Amino acid sequence: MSTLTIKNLHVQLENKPILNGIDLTVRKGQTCVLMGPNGSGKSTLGNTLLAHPACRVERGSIKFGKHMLSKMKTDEIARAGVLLALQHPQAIPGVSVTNLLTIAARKFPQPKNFKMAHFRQEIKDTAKALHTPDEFLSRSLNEGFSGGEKKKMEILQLSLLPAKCIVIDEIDSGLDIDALKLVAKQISKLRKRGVSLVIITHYNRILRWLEADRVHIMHKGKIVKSGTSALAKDIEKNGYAAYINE
Amino acid sequence: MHQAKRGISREIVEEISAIKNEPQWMRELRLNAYEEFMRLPVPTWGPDLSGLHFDEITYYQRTEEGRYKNWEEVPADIKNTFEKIGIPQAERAFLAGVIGQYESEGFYQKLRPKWEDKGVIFCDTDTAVQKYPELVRKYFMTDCIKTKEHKLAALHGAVWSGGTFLYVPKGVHIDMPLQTYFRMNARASGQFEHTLIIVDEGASVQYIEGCTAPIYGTSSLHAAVVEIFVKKGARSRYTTIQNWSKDVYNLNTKRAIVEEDGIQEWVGGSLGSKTTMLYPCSILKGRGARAEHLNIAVAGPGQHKDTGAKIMHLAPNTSSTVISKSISFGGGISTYRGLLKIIKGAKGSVSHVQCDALMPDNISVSNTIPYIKVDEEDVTLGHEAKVGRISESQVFYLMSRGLTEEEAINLVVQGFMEPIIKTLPLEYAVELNRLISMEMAGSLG
Repeated sequence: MSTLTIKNLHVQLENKPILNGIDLTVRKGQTCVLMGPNGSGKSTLGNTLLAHPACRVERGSIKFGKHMLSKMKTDEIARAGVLLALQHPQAIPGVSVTNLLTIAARKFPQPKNFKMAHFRQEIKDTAKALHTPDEFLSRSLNEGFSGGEKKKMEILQLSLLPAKCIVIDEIDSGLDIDALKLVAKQISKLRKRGVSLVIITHYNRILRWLEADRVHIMHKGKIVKSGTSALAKDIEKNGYAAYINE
Repeated sequence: MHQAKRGISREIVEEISAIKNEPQWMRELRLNAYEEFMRLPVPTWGPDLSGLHFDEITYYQRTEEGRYKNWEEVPADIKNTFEKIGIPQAERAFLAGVIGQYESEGFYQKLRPKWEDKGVIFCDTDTAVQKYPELVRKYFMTDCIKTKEHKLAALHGAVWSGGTFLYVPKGVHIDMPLQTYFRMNARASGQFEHTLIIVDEGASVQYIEGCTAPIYGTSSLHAAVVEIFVKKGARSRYTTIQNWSKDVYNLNTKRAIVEEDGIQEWVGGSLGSKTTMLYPCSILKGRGARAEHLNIAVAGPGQHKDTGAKIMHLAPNTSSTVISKSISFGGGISTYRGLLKIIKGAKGSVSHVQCDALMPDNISVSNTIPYIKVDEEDVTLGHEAKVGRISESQVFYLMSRGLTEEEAINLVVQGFMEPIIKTLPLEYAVELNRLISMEMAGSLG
């Protein structure tokens, strides 16, 4: 099955070492949470999973099922089923989320009975579930959107493309509590579909609605502690100090 | 094969008029224009025109000459281009400039009965000179664009040929865009076509000419003139896409006179050519007249696009909007050159100009030269200019949704052009998108 396996991953960003030997395994359908203070390398790990051109893999490997992600291009990784909800989604003037999704959907292997008309309806239904007004589906993507609207658009896109593993980078920043609940509910739906989740977060607010199988604490580009959801609860109470001073 | 004469002389101008069997007034107009042409200097305020040699140009071709004798002679890269844009097979030979691939009257013939009953005239301008001399004489290079204005207008007046004549009578609304499908229409295309559009009071029309596909003509100069008269309460939209081959100087003069409460919309796309100078002009003459200018210019390697808009607010409550988009890549130069004039007394006038440039690399050039002269205080003005790049982050974002790098760049470019593209008929929009992505694909790493 499609297990995400990261082995001894060393990554540089602008010639500075950011990740210094990450080992991580996320089995199919598992929800894995990566926590850590700012600058611990969480987002770099997320970006490296999708081969962001600024992230240079120095050593180690990333594998997803039979795919060696660390040797693939961003679009190939996406089409292999590994998708990323960005921390800072980009504005694409003149391109609506509907435009983008209808183009993107054709790039993925789709079931034989895939119908574009049906897909368009699914876009609308998912937007509704996220309480996103229809007009956001035809406006320029992320242009002038609030932080919360951008995050919803990320989850909308990832829900509609045939994902097997989803990396979610700081989805909780910029979302108010009601929006966060809706987003968490949508993520739970994906989880029920058997999608693996890698949730990168600074706080554990979102974990009130999402149950984590594994929680990992990152610090200075390494995983310094791994545990269950109890670990996240402990951090909520006591902060990172106890783990990062080790 | 018949070899047309090169260069220009009084005799050649007279010969053109004689071949066309023109009335005396048109012959005189041509000869006067020729005198102006000889007198006027080559404009030096814009792009370098020193490579333009008036003596080496063929001004009129008696037989319809082509660049190639048959389809087999057409070079592979041209054939390839047509293949990639998806030009129908039937049109490819014509576009490549193969002799004898013309079908000139078809479209007009089909259209005629439907609108003729309402008094609409839609024909090529040569025919109009013969059949509707009073109308043509009244409007042809008289009040709108005069032959003495500049060297190219004068040259055009002397040697013009072809183009479209369109008259829409009072109160007639033509509900479908009229097209000169000029990629299949030899008489409407050419080097010096003259388009004359008169939209009478309360009437409306949309007219589209041009061609997104590259045209491989025989000449290195294209100097068209478009004159539009928008009468009281009338509405006109003129759309053109041009894609001349990359050795052509494309120097056009286009102008509309808009009367009270009239609306003129210009939609233009400029691809191809070596150097393009084009600044459609709206003269807002009547109270409440309005102009909208939408333009997109694409400048690739070795190309210089000097395009813009000229707007004269001559009456109260007139309004204008300009949206100009340019893409420069591979060392191409694009310049927005604008003139906005509001005279004293044009109270309550409103104008907004927006220039957006997209430059995906560091070797290309984008300039904005907006000239504004306002002599009235009670006006509202806005001017925005932005230069954008295709960021690595945007490309990564789109690639993270499964698009290849090339598709990601294309999508950003398409999005940039969207405000213009959405006003085009579908087949033009599709071809334009394909063409631009194809041109850019060659230049971007």
